[in-house]
Amino acid sequence: MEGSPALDAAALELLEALESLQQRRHLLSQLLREGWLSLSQARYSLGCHRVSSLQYGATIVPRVRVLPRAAAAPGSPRKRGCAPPPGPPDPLSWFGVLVPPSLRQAQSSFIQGVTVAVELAGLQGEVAAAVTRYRTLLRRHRHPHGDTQTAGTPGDTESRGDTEGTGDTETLGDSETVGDRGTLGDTETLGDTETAGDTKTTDAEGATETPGAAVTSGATGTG
Amino acid sequence: MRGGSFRVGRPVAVPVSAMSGRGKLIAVLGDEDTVTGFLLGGVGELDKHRKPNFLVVEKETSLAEIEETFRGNRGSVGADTPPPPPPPRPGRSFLNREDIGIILISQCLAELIRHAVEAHARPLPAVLEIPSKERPYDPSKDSVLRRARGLFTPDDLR
Repeated sequence: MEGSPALDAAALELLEALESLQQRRHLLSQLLREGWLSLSQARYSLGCHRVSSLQYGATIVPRVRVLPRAAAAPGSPRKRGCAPPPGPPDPLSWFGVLVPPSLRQAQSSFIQGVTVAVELAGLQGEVAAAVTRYRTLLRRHRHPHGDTQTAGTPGDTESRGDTEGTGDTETLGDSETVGDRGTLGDTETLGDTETAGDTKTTDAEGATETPGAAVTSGATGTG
Repeated sequence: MRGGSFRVGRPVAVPVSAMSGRGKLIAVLGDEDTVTGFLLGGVGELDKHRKPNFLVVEKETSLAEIEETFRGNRGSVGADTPPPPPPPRPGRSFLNREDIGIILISQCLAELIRHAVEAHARPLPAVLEIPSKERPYDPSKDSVLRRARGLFTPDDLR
């Protein structure tokens, strides 16, 4: 059977996207587990009722936001390394002036968790887009303008491919190329974030760490 | 053919003055520790004029409230479901707010309102199912991954 390079490429992209997704998910699970553990330890140090939703501030200003990729212009200045303006208050302060290291550790894990979660959201969009692309190509491949068996008749429009229609499980509702619009990629951090640890990125490009900035991997998602 | 290897973009966290308010929020629905953790991570917003972008779900939290917070109770949860409690502050559900970009939801909660999660097909807000303390993440339940199922059958590879 004649293959289709485009179809193969789409299949590969989908599989790679799924693999990235899986890796990031694994990392997120790890970070969350560490975070929960640290919270339990903090509770042990401070007392049960000192680490709970009762402590949340009456007013909370977000320190992290997400920029849709389209909105982040490529040339936009990245203020790396310079002192960020004083930002919103650190939620750690809800728990007292002297907080146990376990609580700081919990915060660090969750800050990294936020970064990975943003990546994951972008990757999910990539996977959804890759699924749609692959399905579209697969459909075209099976209901071709030319068929896959007879070689000699250019005018032949008889479809000899899969006569059961598309055959695969077509989940309707996927007509949007999800990754193309509004893919989330950037995390905007207001004020000072103490990134005590680094996000372990495992893909080939490597991670360039800059002081004060959390590096996240997201998906380009452009079709 | 799409050239090059699969590229993953590199967004960088950009320190922005608090006045700028650019960017969308990350909402969280989960148990107390999950929400506390993500709030420590800086995602929370709470002010008296708007609904918070997080919901701590405890044993007493009703299914109706979870669904109401996630998408508003348009769908039918059950014939004899009591009407949802009126929201303490006026405002829309997470899915209907334009200022929310990502919704983090514990997978066990997503399971409770699976019909609502499945029904969401827009790219934004992105819905991310996360593990909870009691239950690890199960990819077979994830709405996004389910769309990728059944793609590679033996017929395709003939």
